[in-house]
Amino acid sequence: MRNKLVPLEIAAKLVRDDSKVIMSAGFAFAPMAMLREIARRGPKNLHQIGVVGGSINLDFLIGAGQVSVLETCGFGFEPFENEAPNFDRFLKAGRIYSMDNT
Amino acid sequence: MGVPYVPVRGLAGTDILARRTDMLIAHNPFNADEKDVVARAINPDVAICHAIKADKSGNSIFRRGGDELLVAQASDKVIVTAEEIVGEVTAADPDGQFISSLNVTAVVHAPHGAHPAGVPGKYEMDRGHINEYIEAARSAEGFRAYLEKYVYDKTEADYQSLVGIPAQEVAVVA
Repeated sequence: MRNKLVPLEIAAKLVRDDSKVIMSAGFAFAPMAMLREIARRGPKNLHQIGVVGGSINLDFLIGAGQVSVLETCGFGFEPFENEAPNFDRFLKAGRIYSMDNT
Repeated sequence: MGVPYVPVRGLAGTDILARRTDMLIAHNPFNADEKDVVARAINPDVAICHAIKADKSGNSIFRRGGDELLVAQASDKVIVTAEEIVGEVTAADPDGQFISSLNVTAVVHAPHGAHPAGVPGKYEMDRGHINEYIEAARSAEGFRAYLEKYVYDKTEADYQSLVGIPAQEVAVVA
C-alpha cells in the first residue's frame, strides 16, 4: 500500500482558497491540530460544513477570518455556553453567510 | 453517496426554500401527484477527520456513532489526523468505525491533536483552555491575540508546550 503519512504542513495544503471543508466533530475528536495549521497557512473564503453540528471545530477558522459560508445544524458551545463565540460575533456583524441544515 | 441530490421530507411549508438555491420542490418521478423537497448534494472538497488510530496507508479507526464514514465517502479529498500510527489497521479492528485507505488522501500523526477538545478514552477536553478561548473570541482583538499567542508563527509542538502537554516523539516520515 502507498505511504500516505505526511506532516501537518503537507496535508494542510489540500485546503485552498474557496475550498468546501467538511467535518464531523465537536468537543470530542475536533481536528484542531489540522485547523491550527490551516490557520497558519491562511486559505480564505472557505465554505465550512458540519455534519451533524459542531462546536469549537467549526468556530475556530471563523474566528481566524477564513470562512465565508457555514452550513450546519445544532452549532453551539454546550456545555460551556449556548453560542459559538466567534460565529456569534461574525454572524451579528454580517461577516458570514449561514445555512441552517437542521 | 455519489448521488446528485436527495429528497428531504419535512421542509415543505417552511420559508427555508425561499432563501436557499440548493433546495427546491420537485415532482416524485414515480408518482406525479406527489411533490418533495429535493436538496442538491454538497460535494465537499476536503474532509478533515480525527482518528483514534491509523496506519501509514490511511486505513483508520474512528469513534463509533460519528459521521466520519459518510463525510469521507462524500468528499473529493480526505485528511485523517490520528492520535496513533500503528502497524496495520483492518476492518476487523474492534476499537471503532473503520475507514479504508481507499477513502483517505493523507494521514498525519497528531497525538493530542484534538486539544482543547478531547478524545474519549485518551484525554478529556481542557476546560480551562476552552474558557480562555471563549473569553478571547468575544472580540476581534481578543481572538487575534489568542491566535498570536498560540497559533501564528508557532508549530504544533510550540502549541502543545504552551498549553502544557508533555513533549512526545513526533512521527518521522520516510
